[in-house]
Amino acid sequence: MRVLRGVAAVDRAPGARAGRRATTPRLRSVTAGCALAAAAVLAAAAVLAAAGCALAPDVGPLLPSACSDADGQPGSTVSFAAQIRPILDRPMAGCSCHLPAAGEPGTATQQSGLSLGSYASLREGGTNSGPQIVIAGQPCASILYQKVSDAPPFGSRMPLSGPPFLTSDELQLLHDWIAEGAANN
Amino acid sequence: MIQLRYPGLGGLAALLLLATTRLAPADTERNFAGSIQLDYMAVPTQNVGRTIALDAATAEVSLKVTQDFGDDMSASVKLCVGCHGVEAAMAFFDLRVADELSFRVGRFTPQFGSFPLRSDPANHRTSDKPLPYDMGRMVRIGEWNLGVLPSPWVDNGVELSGAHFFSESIQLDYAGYAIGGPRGAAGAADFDYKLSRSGENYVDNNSRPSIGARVALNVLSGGTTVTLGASGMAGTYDPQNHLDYQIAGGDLVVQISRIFLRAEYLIRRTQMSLGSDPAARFKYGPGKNGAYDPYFLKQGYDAELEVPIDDRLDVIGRWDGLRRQGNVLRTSALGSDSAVQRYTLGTSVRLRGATRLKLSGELYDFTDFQSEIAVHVAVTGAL
Repeated sequence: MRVLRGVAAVDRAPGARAGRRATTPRLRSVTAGCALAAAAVLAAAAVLAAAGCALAPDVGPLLPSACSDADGQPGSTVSFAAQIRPILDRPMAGCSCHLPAAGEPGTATQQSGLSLGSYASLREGGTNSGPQIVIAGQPCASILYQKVSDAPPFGSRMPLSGPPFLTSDELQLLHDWIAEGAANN
Repeated sequence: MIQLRYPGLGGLAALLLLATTRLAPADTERNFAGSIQLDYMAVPTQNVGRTIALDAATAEVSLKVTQDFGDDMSASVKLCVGCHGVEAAMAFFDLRVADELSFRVGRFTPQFGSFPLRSDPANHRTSDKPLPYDMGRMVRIGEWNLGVLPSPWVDNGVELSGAHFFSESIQLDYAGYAIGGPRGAAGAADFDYKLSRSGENYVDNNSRPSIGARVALNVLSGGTTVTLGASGMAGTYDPQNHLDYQIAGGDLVVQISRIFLRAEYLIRRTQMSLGSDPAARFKYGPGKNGAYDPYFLKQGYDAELEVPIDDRLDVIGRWDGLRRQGNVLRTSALGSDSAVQRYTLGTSVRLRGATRLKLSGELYDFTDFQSEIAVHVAVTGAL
């Protein structure tokens, strides 16, 4: 009811002054509405701005990159067929979201448009990744490596059922395979 | 919106509705509504727009059936076809005890903010949603991970709501709810909306509901209506209940005859998992107190003016934006304080009945990327 009285007071004021043309009811209502709205917006903006400033996170300086594109074991070569394929093929808690359905070869589910069913389809990438999925020689910029690491560039860390995620040894294999050129070997 | 991985759920609800209808008294009433929008978005500042945005053409179709069971009870089922396939956007029962108290149980859009009340494409004049509520049409969606609270947010739960009439001119609407809430994976750094719409997650991911509420004061004065609302939601979003979030919002709608002025502000504080090695996971180091701050802040705002030129033509001007403050994962293209502002000029032409042609141009001004222009052409229809 207080708001109603406030509206009425604003309505009465302009027309009550001697010598001034009385405003129409429609104009008075518009004036009242706008005045009420403006006051409310200003008050709300002040409260929210104060809250936003008080909650601003405390962030330090930019850190140097912790990821290196250098091959971890230059003396040896990682095999896609023998070492990477088994990692990609391993069912993750029953989910094979980027693999052909069991018993139905060629019917890849391809979540997000990404199929890991073959080397060729892997290199094609998915809806979000495209050819950036694997950039030969640059594991740190390859979305495949980023998505299974601790800092996925979008969405969740893979496998989605994790933890457990890939072990540090498996991550290193994937890293080194890309660093060595990501060959279909 | 949630992908209907188990189509039987929606079908079961529809069959239940039909079966109940046969047994219902003769005074029952059934209402059917639907809408469609086909939108084409071009990003002329890019050679291939889909590298930073959704594919050019997107269609949204919704079909809704509401069955009244007397004066106090109703059931609604709404199916949507959108970018994520077929989804159940509604499947709930309403029970009205009095004007001041109603119960809603099932799958619904909880009351938060003003825009979700008109999130159906047939109910707003631009092709896309304001940035705080963006659910996929913004440029750089991947980098920004959508808006503050994508709309329509659909979830399972229970909602109590009501309206109190102080007079013929003043009405207070209010609602409180408990829902499954946003979802993220273990060790997440933000919500993952794909988890929220995959069918198996019709069941909550952490067995702990999020809670929220909204109050809205409506003042009618002559031909002017002013609505002022405040909303809040809080909970945890990861399976282990380690990561919390809080969302607050304020909204204002002034309607003067057929002219609308809308303004909305949302702020979300979200906890990120620091992981076992924050220095390897994050782009920025510890704060002034020597520790990594696990929270980021995401703010969104929208101001929109809708002016009818005549009975068929509306003109819309909009200014909206997002700001994200806080640490980011090492692979993110954003910084510790990133923002985007968008300026939109659009028009909506009523072709015939409820069929409309929407045209709009948008200028995106990013702090971390080059500016972009997006152009939308859409046809919208409603039943």
